[in-house]
Amino acid sequence: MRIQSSQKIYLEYPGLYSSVGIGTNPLWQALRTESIGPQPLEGASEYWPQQQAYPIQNLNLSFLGVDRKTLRTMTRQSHLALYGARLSLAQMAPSIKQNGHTCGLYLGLPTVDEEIPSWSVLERLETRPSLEDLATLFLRETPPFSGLTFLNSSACAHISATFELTGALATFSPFSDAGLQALIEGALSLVENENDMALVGAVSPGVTPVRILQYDALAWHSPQYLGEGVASLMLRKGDTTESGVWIAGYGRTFGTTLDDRADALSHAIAQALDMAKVHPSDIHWILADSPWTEINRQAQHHALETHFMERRNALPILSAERVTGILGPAQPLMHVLLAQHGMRQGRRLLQNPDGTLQEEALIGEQSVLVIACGVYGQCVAVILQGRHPCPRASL
Amino acid sequence: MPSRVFVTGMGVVCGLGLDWPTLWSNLLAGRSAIRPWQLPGITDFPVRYAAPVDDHDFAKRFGDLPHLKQPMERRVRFGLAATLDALADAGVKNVSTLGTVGVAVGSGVPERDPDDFLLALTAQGPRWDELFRNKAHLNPGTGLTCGNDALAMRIAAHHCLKGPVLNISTACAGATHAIGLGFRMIRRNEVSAMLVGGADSVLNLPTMVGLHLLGAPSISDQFGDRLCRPFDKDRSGFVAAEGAGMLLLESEQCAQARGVTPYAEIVGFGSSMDAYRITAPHPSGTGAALSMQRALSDAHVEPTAVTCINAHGTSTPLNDPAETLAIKTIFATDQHYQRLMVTANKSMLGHLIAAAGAPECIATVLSVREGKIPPTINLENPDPACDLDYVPNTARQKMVPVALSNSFGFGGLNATLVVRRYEN
Repeated sequence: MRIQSSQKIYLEYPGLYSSVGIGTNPLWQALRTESIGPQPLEGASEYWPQQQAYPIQNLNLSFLGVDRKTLRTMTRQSHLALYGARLSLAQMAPSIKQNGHTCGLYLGLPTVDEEIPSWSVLERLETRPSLEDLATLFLRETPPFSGLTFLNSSACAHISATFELTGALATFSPFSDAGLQALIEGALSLVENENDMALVGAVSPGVTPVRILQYDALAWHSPQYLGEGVASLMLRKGDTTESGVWIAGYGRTFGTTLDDRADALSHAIAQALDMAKVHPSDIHWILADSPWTEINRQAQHHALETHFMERRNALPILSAERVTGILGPAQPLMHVLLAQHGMRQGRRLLQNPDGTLQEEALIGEQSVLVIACGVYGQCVAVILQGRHPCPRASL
Repeated sequence: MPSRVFVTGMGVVCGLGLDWPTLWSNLLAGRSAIRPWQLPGITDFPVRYAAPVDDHDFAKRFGDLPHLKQPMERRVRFGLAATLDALADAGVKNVSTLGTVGVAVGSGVPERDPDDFLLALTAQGPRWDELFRNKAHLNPGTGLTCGNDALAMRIAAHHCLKGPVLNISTACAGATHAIGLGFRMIRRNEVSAMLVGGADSVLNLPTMVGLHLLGAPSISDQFGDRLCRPFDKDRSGFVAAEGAGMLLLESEQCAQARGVTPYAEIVGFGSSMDAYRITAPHPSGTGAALSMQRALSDAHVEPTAVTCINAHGTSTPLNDPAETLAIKTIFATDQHYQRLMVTANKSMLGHLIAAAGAPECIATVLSVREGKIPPTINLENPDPACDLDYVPNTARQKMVPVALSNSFGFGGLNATLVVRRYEN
């Protein structure tokens, strides 16, 4: 199976919203200048593993025409997903939307992170209620459509209903691998003629105390802060001679223990390289995970050393989560958009061994590796390639 | 060259059986798993019927397995048990002998323990500090601390799988989606085998309150345990259930190398979105029709070749007529819909929500294998808007060369599988 043969799958209409703003360019600039810092977390105390984060502003989506009551019961992640979809779809010419193309939808979503019972219910309590009293309170205080907010797939339903998408779909969750799974399955839906085009999106969990509890229970071990964001793009089929950025290869594997996981990630990278027919020495840029468990950090380190041994002291590597915070499923898709932006500009941003960043030209045949590793060992690698008639010499 | 994809092992845990032979014989006999039920510790919850898994029977059947004794959500426990059964059924002792094997699981709402957040309570009201201080007391077996991919991860870890691990969230279509994506991975030679299916348990306070407030489960007490009545005029909502179904799918090469005779062949998968409302299916069934059409096209199967449809058939006022219209749309040629047998397993199983598609796919596989179609029970007063042959109340024996299995999720997320009788 090849993801490219007589036609290629091109990435278009990038949509990105993170703490640094809307769009890929603000992210690029924030990385160059590292001018964006985390904000204090409201209510944080000594018991919290972190006291700062990269949250984003609340979104007002009433302009999308979504029913007011529905908007009120949507989770933050559904709001974000809907907004991300809007960012990409708003760039499309009406003629593309109206000519009967089937548009699919592929999402990477987090676990629903609501408190149950909700905080507003808890605020009515001073002592632990009996089960019977709790049930009564639940029935009285739970909003009518909250059953939908418990389902993370509701984000998909909201996008479909709002933007009238009727194509094939899939949603994956809950960790960083989910963002790349959505991209891969979206691309495959075009290769296998299931959709004419596909909207791909991925959303971070909210910056909430619940998420901190969840990550803490999953062996959180990271100096990085939590962040919020959404990334989205459209996939379309095109002729192999067109300029643009396309998906050239992918690999996906699983590894449980440290040794397994390093092998699994290495194997996923090997699969992607093989599918793209690219040698490791031809990879010009690596957009990597910011692993937040020790086992994933070591696995990524070993896997990259396996493939890029000769460049191990000067790996062309970057993770943008240093300015956005940890974004979960949205992270690798944000990296895909960053890669696309860089390839279009003929530039790349690299992390020096001392942690500083440098910007330099991205020249010649452009091949970029994006990797993600879920907390339990779900490893995914994607290779993007680009061709642009005249990359700009500088930004 | 695309690979053929065979079903070679099946495992199921549900109210109607803890293995597929029991499930199948109960389905054919028209027995129901639906019974009077109440939320533990709560006497006046309006939903009074469900199709739970019998904990005593489950413990008797699977209780000795050490890795099922760890703290975990009910749905994860059911899913792990069904996976073990599917592998045993396929005669696979060591999964790694199959080559590259992945897992794709449909999961729904995480099972939350309300006690977790009650840890935040102080005399002055709830405080996050208090909750963090008490974090060691969080229930380690709930969806709060495990993530909603706990089943997929545990299956992969327990069996040392090396292939892709996917957790799919498309509401009530989740398991069918998982089976479909797993089928595609084998067909395109990405893996040699996949463990696919779904597991869910909504029979807990937070989820049942949420579902009840949506008006989805029936609260009628008119029909007793005959409450789930797909396509009947007096249907009043679904009846919630819990359980899991897992299937081992193998490539033709993999199955042949092992010398196994497949149960059936998966030949197509399709999905679609309604683009309608978050709370209701499209009344004309356009999304459901698209899903079936895409599945048939994917399988290169003409609609007239289909003889049986395992319907989503929830017994809700809105789903059943919409699905009927969708079937009439897709099978309009020569009014083929008049010759179709449409069966609704949920009349006996209840609605396993995200897992629903898995036992229903297993029943579809068995229908094409054995030429028997389970009935839609409790169909006593057909709704005039539901005017197909729903195999009412008594199973039927008839060759089924090709069958569809439909799953349509909340918010109009649809998926359909095409299953063909195995022929060498």
